[in-house]
Amino acid sequence: MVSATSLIAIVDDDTSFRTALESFARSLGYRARGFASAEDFLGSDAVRDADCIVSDIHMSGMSGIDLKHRLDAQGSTTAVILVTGHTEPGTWKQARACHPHCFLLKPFDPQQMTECLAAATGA
Amino acid sequence: MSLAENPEEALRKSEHRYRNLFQAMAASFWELDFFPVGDMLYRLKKSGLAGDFGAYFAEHPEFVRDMMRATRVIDVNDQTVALFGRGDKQELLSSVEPFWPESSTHVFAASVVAGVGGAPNFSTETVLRRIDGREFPALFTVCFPEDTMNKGTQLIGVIDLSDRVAAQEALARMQAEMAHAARVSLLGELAATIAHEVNQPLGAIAANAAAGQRWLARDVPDLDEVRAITGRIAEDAQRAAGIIARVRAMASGAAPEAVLVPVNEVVEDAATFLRHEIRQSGTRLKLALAPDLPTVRADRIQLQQVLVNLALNALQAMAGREAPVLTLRTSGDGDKVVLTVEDNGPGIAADHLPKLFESFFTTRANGMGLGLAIARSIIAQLDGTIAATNRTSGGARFTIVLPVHVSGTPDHTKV
Repeated sequence: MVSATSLIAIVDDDTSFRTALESFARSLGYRARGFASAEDFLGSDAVRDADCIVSDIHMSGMSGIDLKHRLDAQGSTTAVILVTGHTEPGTWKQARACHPHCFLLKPFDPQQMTECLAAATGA
Repeated sequence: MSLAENPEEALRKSEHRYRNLFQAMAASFWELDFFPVGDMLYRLKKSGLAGDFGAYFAEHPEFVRDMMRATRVIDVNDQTVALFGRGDKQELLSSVEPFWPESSTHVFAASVVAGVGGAPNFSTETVLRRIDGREFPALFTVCFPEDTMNKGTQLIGVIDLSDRVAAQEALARMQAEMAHAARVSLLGELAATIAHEVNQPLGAIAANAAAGQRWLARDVPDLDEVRAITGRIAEDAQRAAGIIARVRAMASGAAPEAVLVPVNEVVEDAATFLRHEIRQSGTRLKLALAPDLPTVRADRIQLQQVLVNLALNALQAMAGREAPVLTLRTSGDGDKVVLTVEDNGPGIAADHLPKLFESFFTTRANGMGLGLAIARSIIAQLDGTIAATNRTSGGARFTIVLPVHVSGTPDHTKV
């Protein structure tokens, strides 16, 4: 059983995907908090409290990749899992270049996401 | 006519000349006895039922058909037998009713209204019917000279427009095919966007399904969670289906059909189509839509195609620039509806302006250069205009002007 106390922050401006991922994380026993933008997340106490961040890449406002850079610059070591529905290899290359903990494509494989979350939260 | 001749001889010669002329004409000519119709109109007027013949005819097409039945064919020329008949002139010499398809009843009514109203003649394009039932496009002309009107006889001319209409239809088909090809090319440019748009709800559906399985697999299944999840799955499936429907409509090669279109809705559809493109480029979308705009007659998908094309051009022109703003505006201007697409990009180079709407002119690496040429041909078919200018504040502005649909004209025809 994974740690029941780990908090997953989910950053995606697509409400239905965010809600789905929150439910998925909770079904695995995590706590989950959703944010509609990187800015909202950065302005919350989840920056400090989250054990793992799952972020979409392309959002109105700050992108997931920029969010990762910002967290790196702040010295954060919280694991970041990037997800995207984009199909262009250019985007994938950019995503991998910022060294996320995991990089997954939408629709993601549940088993892969489960493993990424487990590794990120040290379970 | 010489004064030396006696009046009977002159009349006979005049009649002879008329008969020769009547027969020699290249067009189909008909001599009609309209007298019984005059009687019907007189009685209708006296009954007080019809203050306005035009309105009465529109409400009582059966009365118009009765007028046709009462209009006797006195004589027709050889051209008429060739065009309308089967070689036997006699079978044409009945009433005019068989030659008017129901869809053309209003044209006959309009010719009567014109004659009664004192017009010297009436001429229009319509569809007429041969004695064997086949219909064909025709130019229908009727003259109302005073002397023949008093006698109750009338001369009408018919020119077969089949060839011209066939040529126009071939041209329209070709234009529709070009527009379709451009739409498919446009969809190709948007393929990545469309894939992403579909992946969003699919991703949510997959995540929800996985979550649902976990909730069910618990020692005590959490049915409240599962219930909420299945509801969301249904919504996302609808959302994905909506995207597919929009794409399919754009990909459709169906013949364009002019219907009454609320312009603001088409603008909103186009914006929805490009929602992802707009969001991803960080562009601010401004919709300035005038309320209570009259409708225009257009093929909805083609009009949407034009707007998507212009908006996509604008987005690409603004790529990499600070604070890009795309403005889609509608306004009414008398009997016109004006649509504008504005950006705050670099504007259009002066030497590009004159050839902007030419085929195969493109400044884009992946563009075919057909977008604007097709846009112009689509708008021209709607009797509208499209023009490009640079805004004084910077950026480009494309302006489309479309005529407002006037009630009373057919609202559902092929373009």
